[in-house]
Amino acid sequence: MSRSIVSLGFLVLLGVAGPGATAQTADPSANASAGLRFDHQLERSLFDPGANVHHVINVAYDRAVGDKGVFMVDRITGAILAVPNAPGATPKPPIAQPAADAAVAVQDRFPRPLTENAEEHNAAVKDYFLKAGIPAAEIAGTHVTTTMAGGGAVKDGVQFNRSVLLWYTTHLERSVGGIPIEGSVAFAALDSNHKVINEGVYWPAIPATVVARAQALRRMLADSQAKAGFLAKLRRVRPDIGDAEGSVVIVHTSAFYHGALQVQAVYSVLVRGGGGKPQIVRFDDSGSQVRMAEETVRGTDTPKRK
Amino acid sequence: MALRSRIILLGLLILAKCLTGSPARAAETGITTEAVDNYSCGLLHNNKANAANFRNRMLSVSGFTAGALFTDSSVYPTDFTDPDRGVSGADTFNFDRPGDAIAYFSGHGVCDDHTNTPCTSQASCPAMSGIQQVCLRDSENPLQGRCAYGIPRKIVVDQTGKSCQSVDYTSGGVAWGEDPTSGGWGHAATNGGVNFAVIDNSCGITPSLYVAELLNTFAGVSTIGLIMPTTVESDAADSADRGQAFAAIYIANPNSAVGPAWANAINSATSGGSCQFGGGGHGIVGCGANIAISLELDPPRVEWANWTETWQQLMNPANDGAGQGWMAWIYTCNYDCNTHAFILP
Repeated sequence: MSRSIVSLGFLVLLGVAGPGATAQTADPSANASAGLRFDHQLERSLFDPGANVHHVINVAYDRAVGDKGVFMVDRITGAILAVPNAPGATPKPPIAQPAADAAVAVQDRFPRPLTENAEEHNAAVKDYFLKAGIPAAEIAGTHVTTTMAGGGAVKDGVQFNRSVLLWYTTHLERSVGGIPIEGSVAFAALDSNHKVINEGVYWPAIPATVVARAQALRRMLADSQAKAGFLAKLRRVRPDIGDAEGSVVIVHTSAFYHGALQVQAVYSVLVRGGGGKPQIVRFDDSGSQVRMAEETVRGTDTPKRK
Repeated sequence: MALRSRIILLGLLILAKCLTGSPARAAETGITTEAVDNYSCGLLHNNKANAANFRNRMLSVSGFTAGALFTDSSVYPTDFTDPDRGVSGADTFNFDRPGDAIAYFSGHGVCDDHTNTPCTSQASCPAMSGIQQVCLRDSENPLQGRCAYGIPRKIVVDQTGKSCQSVDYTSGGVAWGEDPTSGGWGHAATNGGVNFAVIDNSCGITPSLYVAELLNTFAGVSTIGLIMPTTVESDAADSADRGQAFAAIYIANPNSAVGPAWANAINSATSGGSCQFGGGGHGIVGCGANIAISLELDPPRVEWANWTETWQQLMNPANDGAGQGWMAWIYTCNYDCNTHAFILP
């Protein structure tokens, strides 16, 4: 049985938190408040899966499938993802004879965006999720991602200014007790009819003990002497962090990771090595390096054909 | 069914096959991943996990099938190069296998396309012979940028664990997707097959230089997904959840479009660092985008390949790229790149 179903027995409904928010009972030894779990649902969503909606259910997923798209609930993590069908789903066009030379028509393929003003989109999405029941006190901010598309003839080479806005996606940034939560997501893209183009939510409960631990770590780091000692300890573990400074966050495993939920208070440092991908290195309050469970997943190599 | 009816049906099938002249080919369903963490030129930690999370999630429901899996010292430079492009190559058995639908590389790249040379426009960047340049916006000041150049893009591997090796996928021997259905227009024979390739590395492509840096990489592959830093000093993070975020969209809706899925997978990736124009993160340190690029003969086909082709349709070899003429792309930036355009023209 999935963890989310098991955990229902320990959940306490909080009416003030909105229709979709629940919380695990706080550890009485901690002064900090727990982060509330929020489960988004199709019934409160502005995503339209279309007609003929039916549920396709297996061990891990409950997919509400319509003729326009799918609203999927991950039954293990509680995360949701709403994804539309391909725009204008058709077979691939035959090769044009003679070769077509019309401009690539981007916007006719997709829904029109709600707005070309990111702040306006942020306000609309925040309002939408608040009405759906997301805990208002945990929204620390908003930002957008921006989807654009374009095309052109290869013979024209460099492709300046050929891309047009398809839509904004607004993300709610989560914090609990003043500590940012990394791994939680609540995002949606709205079209000109105020319908959701796509959306995703993963907002698990954050234990009060973890929040308290993060707050204590932040208080400790406010003392310059204690901070210097802590950073020296980190550099012994990972000399490559050098003088880089980090920040205290709570991190948890991601929306579709199906192992055990891992939630930890960490000091997170961005390490730019000698080139190549920068690394996010995390330490707990004792200075030990933290690896998230999904960062340790491995496969078995295929024999190499010589 | 009566014997007579069966004979008639068989006859009709044979006739249809003769008329089309193209024998039906088996679905291409393989998922191949190659990932490296053990670099002598800078250890990484999450690429094997990133590729494994992608693979495991894709294979957790029916549809796609297990292709090859190579990590660290099993990832050779020749895995990515084509034996018919005049170089030493063995992609037929590795990154461009017949029967594969998706091939995913996760590891280092090289950000040698970025410079600290200030610029205010493309024309203000010092010219480099035979190489295109762009001026990447660097700050809120609309006329302040830094130059970037269309230097060949690279995958980095470390077969021995002692010496990193670069694979040039711009001008070298890399050609993906060629098979009997696509034909040999990519000058790579017809011994490949992958339909969607992901290059999850550093500085995978320079903004706007898609044609210069990727034209020769296509030989039948429908679409290539990359991570595109949009300012100098931005880069893809060493992240374990990027591939998983991509796969989750397939799990949710196999009838969704694959190109937009790669672009929008950025929304479910959560690590990274801030961007000077707001936002940031989502698997990127600084400012950048997930971008999917397609190549085809004409606008209707390239639009279809980039914005419409579904995960299901990706398995059909009849949907391979048929030649070069037009490019289409879709990307999702981790900030407002509509307001803060990343190129100073």
